[in-house]
Amino acid sequence: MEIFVAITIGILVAAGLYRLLGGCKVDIIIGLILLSQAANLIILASGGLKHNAAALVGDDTDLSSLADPLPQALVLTAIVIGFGILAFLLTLLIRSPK
Amino acid sequence: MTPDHLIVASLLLPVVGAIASMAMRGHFMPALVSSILGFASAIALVVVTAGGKVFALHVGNWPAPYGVVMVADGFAALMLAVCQLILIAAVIFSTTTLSSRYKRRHLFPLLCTLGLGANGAFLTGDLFNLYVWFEVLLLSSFAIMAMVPGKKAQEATWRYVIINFMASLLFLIAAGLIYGKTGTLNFADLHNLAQNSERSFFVASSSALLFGAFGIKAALIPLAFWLPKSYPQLPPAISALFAALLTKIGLYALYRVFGMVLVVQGSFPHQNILFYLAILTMVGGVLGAVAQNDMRRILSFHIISQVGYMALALALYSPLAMAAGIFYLIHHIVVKGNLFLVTGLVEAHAGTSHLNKVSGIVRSSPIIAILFAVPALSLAGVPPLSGFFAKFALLKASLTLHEWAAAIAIVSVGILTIFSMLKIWAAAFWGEPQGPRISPPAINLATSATLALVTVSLGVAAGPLFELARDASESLMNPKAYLDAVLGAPNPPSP
Repeated sequence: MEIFVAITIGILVAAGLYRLLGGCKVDIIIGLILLSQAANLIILASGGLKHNAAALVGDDTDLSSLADPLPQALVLTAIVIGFGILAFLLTLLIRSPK
Repeated sequence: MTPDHLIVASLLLPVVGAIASMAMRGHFMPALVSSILGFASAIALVVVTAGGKVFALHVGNWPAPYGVVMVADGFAALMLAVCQLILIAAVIFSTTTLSSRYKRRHLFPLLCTLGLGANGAFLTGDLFNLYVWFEVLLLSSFAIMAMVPGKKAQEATWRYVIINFMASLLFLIAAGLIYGKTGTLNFADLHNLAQNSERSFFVASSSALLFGAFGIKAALIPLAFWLPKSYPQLPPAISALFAALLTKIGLYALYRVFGMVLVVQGSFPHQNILFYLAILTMVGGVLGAVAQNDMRRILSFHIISQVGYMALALALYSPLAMAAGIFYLIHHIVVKGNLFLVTGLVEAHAGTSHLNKVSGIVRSSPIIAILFAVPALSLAGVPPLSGFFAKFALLKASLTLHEWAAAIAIVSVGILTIFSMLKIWAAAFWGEPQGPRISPPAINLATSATLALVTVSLGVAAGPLFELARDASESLMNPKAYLDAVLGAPNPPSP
């Protein structure tokens, strides 16, 4: 499971950096979106990936069968912030002189 | 008022100020009042934390490694106070110097949220929260910058947003990796876990990303070239605030995370790299400044060179060097902010701050000349002003450690700083006045004069302030009180 996520992160970073260095403003924004998705995946994977596991259900369950809830909370925050900055960048793009 | 109340007040006042200012259609008064009250509560925090005391606020009474903590120690309290001071000055300058079109567009609420982000970054006790406060600060600064009219300013904003977004991504990835390796983001918990040698290797490897992120925000060469391209495009009231605050918050994060959290047995990861980058930053920044011909651009390059000094203090990492570094941070925020404000006075007075087009200010307005001379001499390190004591303590620290390269850099960069200040002085202040002269509003002169007085009194009262800086550096280098305050039992929940 981790290996697929790691490869996906690698592809996202490579594609993001390639777009980022493209030079045109739309390219830069696309690159930044890809990079921020890669960052989100890294956080999600950092808690350890488990198949079909819930986060903290019941009191007597075995802890090792549960997913870590903290990275999920972190990644939600990161997605929201990334989305806010993306919206700001798009506004800048629309307002920028042609 | 307990210390907990003061911590909450530091975060709540800017929020209230922003909302009130928005409700009053962007009126400046709520921003001014909230920043003055914020300054008062920060001074109270400096008083209660004096002597190395640390207060932790466990939000929601969750025990420490699991819940969010806000921590006030000497270092955070000093930074809070001096940042609120410069925020007050920036608000006053904005009301009088910026065009009403600029002001109408939510400038004052954004100044409040900028202060909120700064206060949160100083007080936070965990890595992910630091990231969130950085974003609060950055988004406000993006929006303030995007309001500046003109094509050049738009291009500058674009550059500034992208480089800072990249830095934030690095920070985010580093926080994720560090959580994956240690299972905690709390500074105190992380410090304890890093002492375990197996983990410390992994933490050190991910902290390279943190180093890059903070390096970009603090403007360390070779990560600093965004700064002289974006700051000179801003109006002086805003650039004073940005110059004083934003890079210094990057430095604060370097001090807090590398100087305290990741320290293992008296050294931290990437200390050697920081040492050489600091010297490179000092020299590169000042050489860049010497080559410029516009006051705003010269001062922007000086930010970089001064950041080098403060990073060098961290890289030396002896008690004296750290105290000197913290003293330097406080001195620098006041002086650099004031120099940009004086540039604003010069522009209001003579219409431009380009050295080829302005001359003879000593004759046409001696007050502005004095207001420039005080912070300029302080920046260059002339006694008895605050810059002298900051540089002197740093020089002494590097000589005690036998770091000759650092000592030579400190002295020679100081001389080059005097040289470029003399260049401004000779071109803009001496000579015959040409063209029409307008005298700037008295309140701006008074604000700038107050900051100049603060510079002088930081120099005259260097002893007591240095004691505070020493306490602050002690609490960073030997964070026992910090760990006890954070990881000790939280207050029992009130019934």
